Amino acid sequence: MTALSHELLTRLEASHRGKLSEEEQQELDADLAKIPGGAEAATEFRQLWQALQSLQAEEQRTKVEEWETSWQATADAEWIELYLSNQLSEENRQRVEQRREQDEAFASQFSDQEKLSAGFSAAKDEHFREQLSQWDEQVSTGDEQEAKVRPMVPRWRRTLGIAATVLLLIVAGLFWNANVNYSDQALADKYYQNPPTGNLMGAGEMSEEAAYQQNFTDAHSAMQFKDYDRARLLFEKLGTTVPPANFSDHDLVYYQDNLDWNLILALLGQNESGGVLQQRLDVILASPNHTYYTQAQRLQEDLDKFWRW
Amino acid sequence: MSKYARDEDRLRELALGGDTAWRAFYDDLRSPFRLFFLKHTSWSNDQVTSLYQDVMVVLHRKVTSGDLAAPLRSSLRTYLFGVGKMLYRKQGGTQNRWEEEIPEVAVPASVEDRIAEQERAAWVRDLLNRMDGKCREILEMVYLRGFSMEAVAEDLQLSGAGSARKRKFDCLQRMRKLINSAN
Repeated sequence: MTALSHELLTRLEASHRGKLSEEEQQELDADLAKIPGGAEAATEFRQLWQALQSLQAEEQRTKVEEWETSWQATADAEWIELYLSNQLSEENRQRVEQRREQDEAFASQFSDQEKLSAGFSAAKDEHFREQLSQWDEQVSTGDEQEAKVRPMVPRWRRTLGIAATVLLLIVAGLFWNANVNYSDQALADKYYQNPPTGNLMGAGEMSEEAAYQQNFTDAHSAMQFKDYDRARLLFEKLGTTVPPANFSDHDLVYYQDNLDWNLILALLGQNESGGVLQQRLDVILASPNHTYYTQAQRLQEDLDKFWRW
Repeated sequence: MSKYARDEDRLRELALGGDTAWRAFYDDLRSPFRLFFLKHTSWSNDQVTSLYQDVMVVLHRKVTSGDLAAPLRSSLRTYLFGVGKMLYRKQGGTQNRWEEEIPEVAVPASVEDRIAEQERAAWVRDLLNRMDGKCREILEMVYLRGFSMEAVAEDLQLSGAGSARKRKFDCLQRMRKLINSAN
């Protein structure tokens, strides 16, 4: 059996790891060729190294599978949470719904978790309401003014001509109202709010975060300038970008919800109030925990107003 | 200072091969990884979990072999997603627009063929079991746990990295003899 020198084995191992240049590889092949049985020996060593790598991978896989078992106890809870916070693809949402129908224990856990989640959401709203009241108290310095209510006195003595004019004005008013207040773009304007940008809750690598933040700010600038084409493009791009590594779970939800909602408004701004928009709106409406759930409900009401038809 | 200094510190910790560091890394990245693939693909819970495990195995190999080392060009998380994207594609995942945002990361072909990998692993485990304790120990340290030669020398109280390397090659030659004796 041919033995290879340690120097040759060092080079052979480097070659196996892909660390040799083309020139170095040619030199090694030439040196192996000079030794009787050198090529066969090299093949056997490569075989050993590959097998050792396989063993390493298999052992690591066993460990990883053990680690995963500790997550199993919370697997369903995580699955439900992702569903409730609208973080699942359509196929996965359907899987959850199917399992609710078929698995009684899962359905019960789902129901409990949904109640808890709604409770947390309500508590958060309540806390915010209290905060608003406090701000309100701080702002009003005691000079409260009572609103004067003037009772309307109906005037019945109208001539037919005046009635017709009024009717005409009402119809014209409805058209004006529909155009000015309920057109797609008017609704996009009405519901759009510029979020505070420029800071994040997490800490860490600035470049990835800064790039994400910049795109986020650009998308909102486009909204403010009513450049809805660009806004839509940027929000869609952000929606498919891997969020920065240092984002906390809270950051992830904040940004994702903001993207979901503003993409809808950008679509409205583009006068695309058809199926695509409705689909996206339905996703938020199906998720009471979504940050923009209430706004989505109001928008749906506005979209359904009869004068938009 | 590197843009990814914090990740590079973590990478150095992972390169030492300790289970505690890898376990913490597994737990930290599990939720974001799953969340991303459950949201942006049609893959089920089990498929995504299995994908994450495959990704961890690939990353472990890349880190312990020194293929992935500082300075980093992206965060570890982005790199992990890159491995995930490649495996997702190789395992038949449908093309998605989000893929453009994630870097391409080469994945060793051997990882894809589980059966062949298991056979090779069983074969070499048998060879290791037939070796004397000292050789088995050093080969496991180097090839399974990713120890550097310096770390092996320190652990086995050898005179230095050169001495450890010599012993490693002697043991590899003996292992090769076992292949031939078995044939």
